[in-house]
Amino acid sequence: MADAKQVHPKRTLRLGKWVQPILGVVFAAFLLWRLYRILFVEHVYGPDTWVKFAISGLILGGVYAVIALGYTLVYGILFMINFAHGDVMMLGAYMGYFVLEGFKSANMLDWNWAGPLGAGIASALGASAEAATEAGAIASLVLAVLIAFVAGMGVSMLTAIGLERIAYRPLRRAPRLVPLISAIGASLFLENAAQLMFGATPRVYSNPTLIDRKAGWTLYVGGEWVSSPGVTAWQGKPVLLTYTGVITFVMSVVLMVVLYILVQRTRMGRAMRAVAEDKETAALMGIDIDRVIGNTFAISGLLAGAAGVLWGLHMGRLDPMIGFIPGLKAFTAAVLGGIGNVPGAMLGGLTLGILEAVGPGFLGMPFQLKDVLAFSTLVLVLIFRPRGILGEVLSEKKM
Amino acid sequence: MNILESQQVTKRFGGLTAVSKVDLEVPERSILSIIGPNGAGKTTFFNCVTGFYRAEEGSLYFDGTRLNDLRPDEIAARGISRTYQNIRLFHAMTALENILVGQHPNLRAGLCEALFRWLPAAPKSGRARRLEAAALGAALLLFAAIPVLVIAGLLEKTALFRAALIPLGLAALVGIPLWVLGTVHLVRWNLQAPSPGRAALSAGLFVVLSGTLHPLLYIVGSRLHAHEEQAAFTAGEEEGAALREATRLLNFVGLTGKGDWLARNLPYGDQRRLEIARALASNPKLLLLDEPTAGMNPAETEEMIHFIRRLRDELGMTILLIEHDMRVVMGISDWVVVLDYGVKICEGTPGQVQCNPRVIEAYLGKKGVAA
Amino acid sequence: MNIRATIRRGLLVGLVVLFIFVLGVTTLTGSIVQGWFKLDSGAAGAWLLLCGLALWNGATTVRRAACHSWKAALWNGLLAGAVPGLVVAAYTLATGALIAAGAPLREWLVQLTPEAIGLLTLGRPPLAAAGLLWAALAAAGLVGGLLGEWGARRHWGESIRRRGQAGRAAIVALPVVQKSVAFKYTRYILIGVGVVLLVIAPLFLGQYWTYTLGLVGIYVILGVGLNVVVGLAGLLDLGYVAFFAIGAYTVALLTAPTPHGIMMSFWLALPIGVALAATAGVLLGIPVLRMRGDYLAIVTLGFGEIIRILSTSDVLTTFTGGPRGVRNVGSPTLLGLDLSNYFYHLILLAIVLVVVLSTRLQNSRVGRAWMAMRDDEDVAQAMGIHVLKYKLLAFAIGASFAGLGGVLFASRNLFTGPDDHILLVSINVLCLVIVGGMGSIPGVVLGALVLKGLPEVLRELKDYRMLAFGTLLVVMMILRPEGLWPSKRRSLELRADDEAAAKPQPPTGAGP
Repeated sequence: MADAKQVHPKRTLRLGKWVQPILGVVFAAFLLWRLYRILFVEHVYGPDTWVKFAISGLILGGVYAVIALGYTLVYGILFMINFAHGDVMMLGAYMGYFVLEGFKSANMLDWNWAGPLGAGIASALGASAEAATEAGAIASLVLAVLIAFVAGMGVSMLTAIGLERIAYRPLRRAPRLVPLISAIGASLFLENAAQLMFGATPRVYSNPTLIDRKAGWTLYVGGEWVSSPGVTAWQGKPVLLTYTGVITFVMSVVLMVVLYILVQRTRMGRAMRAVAEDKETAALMGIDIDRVIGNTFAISGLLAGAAGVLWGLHMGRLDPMIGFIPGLKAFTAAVLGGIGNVPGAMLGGLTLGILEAVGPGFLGMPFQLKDVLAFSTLVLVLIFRPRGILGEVLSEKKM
Repeated sequence: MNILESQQVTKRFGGLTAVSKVDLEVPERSILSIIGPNGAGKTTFFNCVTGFYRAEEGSLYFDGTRLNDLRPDEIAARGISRTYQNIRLFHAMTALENILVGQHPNLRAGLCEALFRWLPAAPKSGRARRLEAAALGAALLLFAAIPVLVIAGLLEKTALFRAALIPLGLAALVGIPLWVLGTVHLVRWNLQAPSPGRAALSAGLFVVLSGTLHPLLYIVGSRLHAHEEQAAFTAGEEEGAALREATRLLNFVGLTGKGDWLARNLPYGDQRRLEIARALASNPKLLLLDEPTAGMNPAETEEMIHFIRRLRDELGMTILLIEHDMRVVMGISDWVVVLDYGVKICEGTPGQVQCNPRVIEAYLGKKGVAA
Repeated sequence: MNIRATIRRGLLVGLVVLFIFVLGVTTLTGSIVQGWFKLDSGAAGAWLLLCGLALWNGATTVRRAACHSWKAALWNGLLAGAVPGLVVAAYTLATGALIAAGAPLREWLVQLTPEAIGLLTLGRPPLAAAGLLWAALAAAGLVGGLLGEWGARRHWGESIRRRGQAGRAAIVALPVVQKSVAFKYTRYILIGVGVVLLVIAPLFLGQYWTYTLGLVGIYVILGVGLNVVVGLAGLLDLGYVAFFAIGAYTVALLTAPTPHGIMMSFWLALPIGVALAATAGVLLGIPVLRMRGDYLAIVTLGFGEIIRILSTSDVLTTFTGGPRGVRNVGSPTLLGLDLSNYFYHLILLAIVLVVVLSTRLQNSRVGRAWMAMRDDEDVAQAMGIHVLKYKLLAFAIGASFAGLGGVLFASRNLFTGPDDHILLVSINVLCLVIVGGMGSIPGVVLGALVLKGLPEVLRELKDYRMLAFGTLLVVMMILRPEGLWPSKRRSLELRADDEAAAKPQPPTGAGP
């Protein structure tokens, strides 16, 4: 007879029954008021700026989602927050940086072995000389970036696996506090090792010229009437949609989809889900727990590495601490969407990204405080809806 | 007189109805068993009674009080105790400490009494508690108002200064009579058993507390006076009495001498006894035992049966029992209730229930009825 | 003689050596040794480290393989030294060649300065240096292997252990020791002596060390407070620094001339600071304490960060002084006498206060309720414990201790700013509670001494301090999760299969 499959959590304050609805109403009223002001009263930001916010929010959200997936995978299996996950991402970002730097110092960033190959194929397909060169350039770019990704994801995967074997595996039976502290220690270790190895000065990612961070498509949004002698025309305001941004978003979505398929449709994914549900029973069914957990960490490492390289390509700036705050925010995203839940992590990441980009403007806060917005979201979600948007009510495992 | 009444209690988990419209009446000083196949909702029902779950529909009444909206600790304080199907002792604490925790609702030492061991515990009567709350409130208000006054004064914000005078005045208004009352209590405390120590302590307290925190003198004075009149005990005395009581309970359940054993190191049978001792520690009126004889051999089961009977006969407790062992059920129950899939399918004396075809079907399946 | 295992182990050790080199630890060791022995270069120290590692690998490999023959030990040891040697040699060759070819290695891996690499190559061409290294490490491994076999044959490990036990027993058997253990007041005398020593310490120690001890003292106060929250009530609070900040900022803003010009007396600001911190603890606790362990940790972390960001932000600069902080914080005066030179003693007093309060609480009904809640919250609630109230109490008490620490800290430094209140402080305090021993006061003191005092002693290791912290945390959790000086109860909790635990233990906190 089951003893206490507990609802998570219990809300037992009787007064509290009224607190939530009242706060909800107040908050909704506040949001509506802000909407009104923005649409009708203040015109601080034109529609082009809002679009810019939305775009950057979606892109950032994509990266958060990928990192959040890593968190959610590990939490689903071990019920443990992998504090060092953000630092795993940072290491992957650094590896990608070194690969691209290597290409750059060998002058192969814009044209390398793939170049003639690409040009050759394009010519064979009947393209003009110019188009062939461009095809070659694209091919070179793809090669460089691909190798950067492979290297970054590889390093992150190895780090994650190492992390699991050294810092987490011996502590699987310990009370919950112990692996958490170990995770904090591991995070400190990785951050400071990176600082010692690579130096604390920030570095800048060298993107191949074609996907330079300032290159992209220009959208024209909103706008105004502009008159010049003889002509009055509607000129939209330009909004830059960078190639890196698109690449980041697309890759994030691709990774999410791949992971979803992996977890839902493959044998390994099934094993992972079984171990997440009930470790002991899964072991009785013949599943090798250690291997599944190792695989989970490996996959979370791969994802983190990819996120790291994407971050580097799109944001450009790299230093040993870039894993910390995005890691925290990605965890917020995972919780927001529903922890232990793959679609939830995706949804949470995108939501948080947009919230962070659009929020300060919408709420009339200074941009300096956008981290406060993210952390407040975390606090509020955990207080009022701990299972997140898509989360299932998890049964609490007593250790 | 029914000590516990359950009226149409229903508990759902998502789509599953674990307990469905269960009516139950438990007379005082009776032993009532709830039986049924696994998954019938028995432990869920217990959890509803103790407040761990909130029933979706229906009402639970204990001694006339409606239990539905109360917290588990409030329900425990009213006199309901329980044991658990898979023993849930505090593994990291000793046996005695487990029992001491069980006494928690009956002890009165809180934060202040823990810090100042000579301070007697809070009073029990409602009027005295209200006065103490008023004194505490006034003291806090004074404590908060004075810095505000100082800051306002230093910053020369006269409006704030004047505004802060209002709560100060209010607090003083409430506080000064309480301060006087407290002084009276202190004086009477001294007169009842004069000694230089008492005089010194009283004088010291008077001096220290007659400034910003003067309402607190009421709390201290009245408690000391009450202590003298045997109405309140200091934390030290209370701990001593609690320890003696815990030792007595330890002996009562047959664990003499094992008080300092860590709970997790006790053998299984002793752990079960300790759990019962812990449940008894709060002097409950109603005891809920969840499969108390699980994992016991026939000899131990006999002992447990006698023990449960003693609890009812000597201590006047009402006992609600979940059991699978039919010897126990038939042996000591005054009344048996059968649940199946959350529904009460039968109730009656042990003899009646034994022969009921629905009960047999629930346990043995349809084919079993023919047998 | 399992060759594959030896090779695998050797590879692992080789990689670890590389990692150490890239982190700059070899360079560090080299410079330390250089300093101690007044040598010309750090090469001796660096080679010593590398050979030492190879030797250790040789010895442990042989012990593990249980060779039982000198020849096997020789070969095993050689292999155990040669494999990492090969790795290091290859690395030296590669980097030496790359640097000769002009590759900007140093830009990528900051520690690979020419000097650092020079420590390995000793100025010779890469091939020669690589060969030399390989030979040296292989030889070290060989020696280590032989040593390991010798030690195994002589059962060094056991004999050392036995001698240690015999020595300990002999000391305990001394009549002096026996009598003093029996003497009722020994404990108090020892404590008294300790207190007297602490009080007169500033007379001997000079200003720098007094300041350092004072800092350790403040962290002890913080540690005792966090001990109540984490060790007694089992609530993992990673935002503890927020309460520290509230105490510090309260006293700063109330006693400094800018930004508000209130200029209140220190003694009035102190209780206000503590009270505000306690109130903040209660306010934070009410929504947050219903969550489960990990979530609670993250939420408190978020809260701490929110406070820090707000205190740095421009928006609140007029209130908090912004990124530059608050200067000229007031000092305590007693009857006109400026006490700012006696902060050390004030801190000692504060430590005594918090220790007494904390111990009193632990051994009372409140402490039992906390321990029950930590053990099994649902059952504790069923026993009549109002869980939320007691959690809030723990939080408030922990917060008030932190506030006290903050007040003393800001007043002593005559300054406080957002950089004093970073996440690292919370992590530091958590580390010292965990490493020192959760739930035990001596453990907290030890933790504070180790984590705050030691870095001051070993100043050259400043850059590696955080790295050491992280490593220490992980290592301690694996090897000794109960901490260096745990409370009896905690070590029993965590070592479930200890035989000693099967016997009855003396009462801990069961009575007044």
